[in-house]
Amino acid sequence: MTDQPQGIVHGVADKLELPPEPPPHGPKIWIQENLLSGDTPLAKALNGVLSVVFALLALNVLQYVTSYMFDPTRRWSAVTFNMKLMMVQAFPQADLLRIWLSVGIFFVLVALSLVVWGGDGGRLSLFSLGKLIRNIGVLFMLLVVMHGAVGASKLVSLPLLTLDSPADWSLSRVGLFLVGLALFAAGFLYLRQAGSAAKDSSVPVLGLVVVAMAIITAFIWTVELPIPVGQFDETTGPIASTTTWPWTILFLVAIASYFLGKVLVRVVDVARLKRALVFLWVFSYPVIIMVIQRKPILDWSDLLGRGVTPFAESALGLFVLFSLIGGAIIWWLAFSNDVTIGRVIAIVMGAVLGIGTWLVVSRSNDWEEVFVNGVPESASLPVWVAIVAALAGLALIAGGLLIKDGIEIARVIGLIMGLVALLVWFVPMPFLVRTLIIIFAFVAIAAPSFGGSPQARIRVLAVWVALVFLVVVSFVLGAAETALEFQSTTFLGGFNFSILLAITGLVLSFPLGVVLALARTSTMPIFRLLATGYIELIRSVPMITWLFFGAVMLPVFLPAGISFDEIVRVIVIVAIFNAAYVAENIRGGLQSIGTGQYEAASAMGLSTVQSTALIVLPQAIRAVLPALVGSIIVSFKDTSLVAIIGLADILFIAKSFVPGQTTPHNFLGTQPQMLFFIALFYWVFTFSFSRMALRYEKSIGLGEH
Amino acid sequence: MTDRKPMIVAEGVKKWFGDFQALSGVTTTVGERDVVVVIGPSGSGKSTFIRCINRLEVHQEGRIAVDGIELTNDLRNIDAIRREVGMVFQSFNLFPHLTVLENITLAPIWVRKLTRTESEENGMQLLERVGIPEQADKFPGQLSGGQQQRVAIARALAMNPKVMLFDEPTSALDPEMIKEVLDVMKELAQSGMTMIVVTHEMGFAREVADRVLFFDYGTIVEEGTPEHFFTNPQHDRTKLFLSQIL
Repeated sequence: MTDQPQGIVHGVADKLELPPEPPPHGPKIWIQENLLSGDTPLAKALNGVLSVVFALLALNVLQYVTSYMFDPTRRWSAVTFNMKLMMVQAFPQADLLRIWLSVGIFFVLVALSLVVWGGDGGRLSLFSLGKLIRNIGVLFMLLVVMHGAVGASKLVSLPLLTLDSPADWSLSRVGLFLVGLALFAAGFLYLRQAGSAAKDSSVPVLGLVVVAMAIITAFIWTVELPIPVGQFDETTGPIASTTTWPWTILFLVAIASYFLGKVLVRVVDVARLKRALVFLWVFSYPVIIMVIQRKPILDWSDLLGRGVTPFAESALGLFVLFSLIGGAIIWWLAFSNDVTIGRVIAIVMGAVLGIGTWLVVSRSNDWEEVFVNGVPESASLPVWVAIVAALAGLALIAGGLLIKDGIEIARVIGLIMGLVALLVWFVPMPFLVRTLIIIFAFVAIAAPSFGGSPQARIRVLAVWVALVFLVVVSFVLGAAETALEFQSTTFLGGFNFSILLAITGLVLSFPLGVVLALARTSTMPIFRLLATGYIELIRSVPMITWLFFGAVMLPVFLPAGISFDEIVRVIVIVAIFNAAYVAENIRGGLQSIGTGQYEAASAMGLSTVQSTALIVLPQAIRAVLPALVGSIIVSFKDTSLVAIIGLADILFIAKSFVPGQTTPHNFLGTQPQMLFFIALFYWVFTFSFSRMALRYEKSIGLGEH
Repeated sequence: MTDRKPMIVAEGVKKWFGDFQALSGVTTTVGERDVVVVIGPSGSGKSTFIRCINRLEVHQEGRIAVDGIELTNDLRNIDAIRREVGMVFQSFNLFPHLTVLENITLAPIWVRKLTRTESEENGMQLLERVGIPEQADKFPGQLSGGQQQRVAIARALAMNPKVMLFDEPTSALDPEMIKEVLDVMKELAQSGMTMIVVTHEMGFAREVADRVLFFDYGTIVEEGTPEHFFTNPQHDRTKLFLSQIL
């Protein structure tokens, strides 16, 4: 007899329920959760004592800082009086408008970018806002209560807890306490009354930022800052109108451009706007440094070549020559990503570089004598180089024609780069020509992979022409004299200079770092060797040593006929130094990508260049964003090391004002204030940068599992 | 089967990993519109064999030809073959930093040089074909395993391949998702695609396969129609293997 086994039927869930209501907030619950957590009464007591002690420790540290800041013997006039010097140092007073213009352009671009990329900072719920206000109020009150004023009689005098007797509280102290109390009450009562409904409504964070900007503007119009009087005293006076007006105008312009952005987004296609904005960001930087701040004296002869110099060597001539001839070669190279291109590149490059080198160098040597008497023992370097380069070029051509099997493009690239390096280093040519040849080599190598369809070819050609334009214009502007009149060795100083150094150095170091990382992990031994050698050499020595090297020794190592301005040398050193560290970070990211990604990319027919640029590198960089952000922050702070070679960045100026102030204001003993201000200043930048980086990471979905 | 134009020809293919012989002489022909299912124990060389076809692995001896193109060291041949062969992996291998639609349109834009609008239209059609058009703007991490594998299939189909290789496409999925992927593969087979599928899904083989190859120790031990395998396997090894999975 078979008995059917009986199961039990429960049925499906009827509907999903909401979680239970959380217990109401209140002081008793707060104390239970935060101070008296634990399983046994002993654990609860210990936790409570520990929490109180550590809270008091933290508050004491804060209280020490605020006491120091607000002690009546502080001379903050040292900071406020020298603010302009710390920001721009030697920039001539008459041209300060240029600095304001630069800041204005930055504000406008930031406001437009916020609109176009939709990064409006999100929304803050009223619940969080209320909590924030309430907590700030509590902190205010606690700090005011614990503030140990000098000479006051103490009410309580324990190790971590000293309280002044209320009778000794100054009027302003009482006022501040009341402000704290008001904030606390506002936050607390609002939360009590609104309850959980406060979580539903929210304010945009940008709105809060605008409110903050309005408060700051009102602040700078009404507040009075300390001004030095005589040797040791100070009084207070309103901020100069040369500062208040520009800042007010800048804030208004920023808000106006935000709304302009909103209008534009509705009228113009967003993708086109994004491209235009990227273009503006990229070009605004050299424009700000070279044109706006530098005020170059330009002459048509700069463009067209002076008198005897042929058109071909003038700026305009080089632009036309390289755009046309280089453009034609690149247009042809961008035809398809067929591997035959590897051979074509070899042949063309061999012809251009080998034979071209021969022609260029032969202009400056006595070839009749060479043919008659043989190459003399004392032949100058270029002759030998020309012979080697020509032979190598012919070898490339022969190889390209003869080898039947598809040459790995990487090996051709290696040959080309070697030849380019040889050519550019040894042959005497104007520096502009050398730079253009290097850029041409890179674009020519990338062209086959990124070309193909007519649109893509046009894009590659446009990039090439834009690059040539950018380089030629930068050279012309850089070579021109500046019309500014200033007293020190350079018109750049103070924070203006620190920022220039940091941004240029970092922007230049990133592409170099990526190339190094790819070279270090490549399959070709020579690339690996060179990249590893570079990285280990740079990392072996501290930054200060490299700065000395750059300032003093670099000219010895450069090819003959090239010399750089001191600031350019420092920027180059900063870029070279950071590139090594960035390369190692990115290499870490590259190693973390599973082989499956490479396999999927090659199974779909993507070339090595394409899969590296589109698949591997984006993922590698996303993986190591925190490390890269760290590198950037460290390098920003390392710019203060240029003080060692005598360049005046903001820290150097802050330190150099003791003593040495203009008489009759002698600021002995103000160094702590200056350094405190500098510390705060650097902190504001590095902290906001790391918060922005964190927000960016969240927006691209990193760190969410 | 034999009067169809041969799409993939393998003759005496041998491959070693160091001293270990992974393929010991594989000879077979896959005709146009054939659906070939490859079964066998792990380590038998079935994945290695199909990875040799699109050069993810390099065979040391023997000859492989795809659509008349010989598979040699010449990069031009390899590129041409990879354009005709689409591959679907066990671990999907979608690109996590791109949306689903961008995953699908990447190769058509950069390898076949189509315009973005064309590629996106084709991409959306493919997504509808695999049944998930509404996921176009999501990231792979936000999809379930079955949906990810279907995106991977759409991505491989976006290049208009003549042959589709499947390397254990459903081994990483749970039973309900396996069905969605197999349905897509069945539709693909019925629409006339040449397919080589390495799988353990015998039901799929029975319904759709023209031929089944049984691999062991790097060679084809037995081959035949699915009926032959499930009703009348000959070799002892085949019988042993089938008794464990059927």
